[in-house]
Amino acid sequence: MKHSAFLLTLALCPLLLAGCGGPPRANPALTSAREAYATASNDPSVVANAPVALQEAEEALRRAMAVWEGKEDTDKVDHYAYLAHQRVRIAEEQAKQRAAEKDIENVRNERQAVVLEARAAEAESAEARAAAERQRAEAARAEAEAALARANELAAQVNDLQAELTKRGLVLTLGDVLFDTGQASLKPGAARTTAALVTFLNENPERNVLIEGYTDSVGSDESNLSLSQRRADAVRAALVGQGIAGSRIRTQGYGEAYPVADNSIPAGRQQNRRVEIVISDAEGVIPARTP
Amino acid sequence: MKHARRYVPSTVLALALFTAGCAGSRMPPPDMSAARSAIADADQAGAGEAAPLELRNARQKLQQAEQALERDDQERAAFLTDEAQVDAELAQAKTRSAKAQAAVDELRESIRTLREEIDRSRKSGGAQ
Repeated sequence: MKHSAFLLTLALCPLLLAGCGGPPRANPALTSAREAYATASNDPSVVANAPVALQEAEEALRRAMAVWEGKEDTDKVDHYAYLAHQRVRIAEEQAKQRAAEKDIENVRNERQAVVLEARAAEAESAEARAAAERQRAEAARAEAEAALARANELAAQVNDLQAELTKRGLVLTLGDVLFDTGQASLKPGAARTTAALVTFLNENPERNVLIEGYTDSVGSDESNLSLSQRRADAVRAALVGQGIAGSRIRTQGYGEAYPVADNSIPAGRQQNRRVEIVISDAEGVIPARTP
Repeated sequence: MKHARRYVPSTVLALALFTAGCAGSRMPPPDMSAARSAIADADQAGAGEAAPLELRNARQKLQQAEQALERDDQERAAFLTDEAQVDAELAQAKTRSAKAQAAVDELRESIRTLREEIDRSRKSGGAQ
């Protein structure tokens, strides 16, 4: 018991001493002002950019410390601590201001470089656009020339074919002179007539043909239908024989339907006995026959 | 004459005490003009927007200083005047740094816009 009382007394001794002659009681406002000053004075930007303001802050802090060490009223210590703290803040703001002002110079130079870059890019892109425009114009001109050449060539070929331009497109009519009466086999001279068509089909591989057979009104419908189909098939066989792919050729026998002339007179009947070859458009399409 | 001389020392003493008392109890009145013009400068610089709190503090403290003076509380008046002054100075510093920063930000923004334009024009030029 005595021992512990002694220990307690020993422990209280420094406190008693502090109460008497030690430093004054800590002041929170002063402590935070000192901390703020320590932070600012360790900030290279504040040291470099606001040396005078930092010194003023230091002086204010010294005054506050002196007041505190002089054990003046808390109000007074608070007041001087407040002044010191505000001086630290002023120094920090000044440092920020100077740093920003230095930044402005750099950023202005950077902006100037970017402006030049923008102008260069604009010129570059204008040049690229102009070049692209020239290229497009050139391509369009070449395309137009090619189309014209194709049209001219086609016109010449059509001329060679002696085909006729109708609502269904180009139609080549082969007269009955190619066949013997009632027969479906082509006469030997027919090859010369179909040669122009073969040339045309070879030069225009995208075009297909529809071969249509027609007769006059003499004889039964069935025999006429059959004869017209066989004649159309004979022309097809001739074309295939000269190297045209069978897939490009369709045939259709119409018999005595769709007469083009009067069947009551010999000349009219001769006109009606015919094979029409309808040439497709460039997409290979042949419109259906309408009466 | 003899009668009067008897009173001279005591009068001098009283006068001296009176003057001393005057000088001792009365600090020189705080100079508020510096604080007042610091507040005006801060206001002029645009502290109302950049540092409204500091500006308000400064004004309030100056007002309180005037009231303290009316109460004859010289020390309090001096403290408040000094605080108003430092608050106004901080308001000014804050305003100036905000302005400088705004100028930097504006420049940076214009650079960003320019770069976007460059990218766009490169893309539209290079696409063909």
